[in-house]
Amino acid sequence: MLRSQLLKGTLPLMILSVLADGELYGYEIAQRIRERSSALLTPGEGSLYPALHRLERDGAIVGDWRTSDRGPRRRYYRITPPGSALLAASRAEWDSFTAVVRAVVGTAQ
Amino acid sequence: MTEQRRYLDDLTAALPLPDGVRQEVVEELAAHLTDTIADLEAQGRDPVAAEAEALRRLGSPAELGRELARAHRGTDRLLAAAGGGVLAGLGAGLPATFFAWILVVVATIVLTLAVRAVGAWLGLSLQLSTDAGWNTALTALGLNGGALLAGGAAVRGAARSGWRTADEVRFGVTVLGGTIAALFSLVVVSQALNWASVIALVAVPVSFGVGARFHRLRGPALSTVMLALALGLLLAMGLGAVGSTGSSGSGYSWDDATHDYEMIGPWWQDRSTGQALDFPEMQFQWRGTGVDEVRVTAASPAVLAGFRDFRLEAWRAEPPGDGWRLVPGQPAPFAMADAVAAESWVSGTIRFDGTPGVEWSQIVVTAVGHDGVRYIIATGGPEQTVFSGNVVSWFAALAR
Repeated sequence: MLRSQLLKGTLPLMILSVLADGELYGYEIAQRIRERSSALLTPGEGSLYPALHRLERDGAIVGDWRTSDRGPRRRYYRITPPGSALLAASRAEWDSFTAVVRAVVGTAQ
Repeated sequence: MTEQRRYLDDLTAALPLPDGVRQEVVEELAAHLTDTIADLEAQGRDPVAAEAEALRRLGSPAELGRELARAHRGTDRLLAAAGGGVLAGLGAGLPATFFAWILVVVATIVLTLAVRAVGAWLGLSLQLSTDAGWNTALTALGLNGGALLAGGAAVRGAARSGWRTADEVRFGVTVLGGTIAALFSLVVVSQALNWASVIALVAVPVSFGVGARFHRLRGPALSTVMLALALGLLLAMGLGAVGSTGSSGSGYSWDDATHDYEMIGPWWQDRSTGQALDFPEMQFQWRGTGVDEVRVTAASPAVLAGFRDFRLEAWRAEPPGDGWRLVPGQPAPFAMADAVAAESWVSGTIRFDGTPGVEWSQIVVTAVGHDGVRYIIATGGPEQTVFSGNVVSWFAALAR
């Protein structure tokens, strides 16, 4: 439960981070997060799309439809300048947060 | 129908978003399912298991729909919901009130004719009680019809404009709309009231709440509810009509009242000379329903000599039928006003429209004589009256 809540809270940061490398559609975003975490993190797919749409509503990302040679058309997302600024701020906040938590909790001996 | 199709239909139904937005969201999720299923099949899952696993990963369509809708709407949607609810409520409620009122009036006319026909057949003088209070009751019944439709329309309008489900907006719409309906029907509407109209006006916010609760109620079902309400009120009026013909007899039944007065007409005797004089003449100047300016002129100043504490009093009377009389057992008049006496006349103004439930009254002029007993100086004829005000003042008067 704790892991799930932690993951949900950091989902927007992870989405922005993978989109900083280029445009992706929803399924690819989930796959990319999974790959980067060596399959340790798998965002709940039911949480992924609400998070994506919230970021789009807030102007951090934009999506547009593209047809595909294989399969249905897909909605690709890309990060916007405000999204990049948000990513930078979120990263700094995350670094600060983890540093503080590490200072309190310590590291495994 | 495949499980995937069923899931997407459920998701569509759970998404309270504009059609275009909803279609795009569902299409995106459909593409996601296609990708997931293809991947799982590539990993060796059979198609049925792959589809089941892909759907499991997305979770409940209702929950996903709720989260997606929440992600799409900003704070401006709350304002849009309020505006949409108010507009839809007014748009449906105002014409519905008018048409419901027309319906009730037509039904009243039909029932009036029917009651008269039945009365003629039975050899009785039957008629509907259609005084000012009943007219308000009929109008209030129309308001109930409007409120019923307005409640449902407000829920649908607020949900549509606010990108929310009916369940999500119902409580807010009921509280806000019910409060507005209550303020209107209990405070703003200031009319002639009787018990039927008070009940009908109190029911207006309730009707709004019922409409909001059953917001899908339309057409024949709604017409049935309205018809039942109208028939209920008209039946009450019909019973009132039958009851109104029940009183009989003639003259004023003062004997039944537990008051201290003595009837001394139709002649007045001059105490000093023993000469019989005409009963003092009483003139009424109508100042509106329930308000009279009264002037009593005696044949001689001697008639009024020795009296003090002149007062105008209003007593309850029973409705006219074959005859009419005072309501028995009244311990006191329901309205009083001081009167001024000078030489051979007494005058004053009495307001008797402030007592709930009084439909007929008799105005009398009284004064205290030499012996300390209060006498009736003059009496008027029966006069129709009605409580005027709003429902709040009705209950405040009752509490007094």
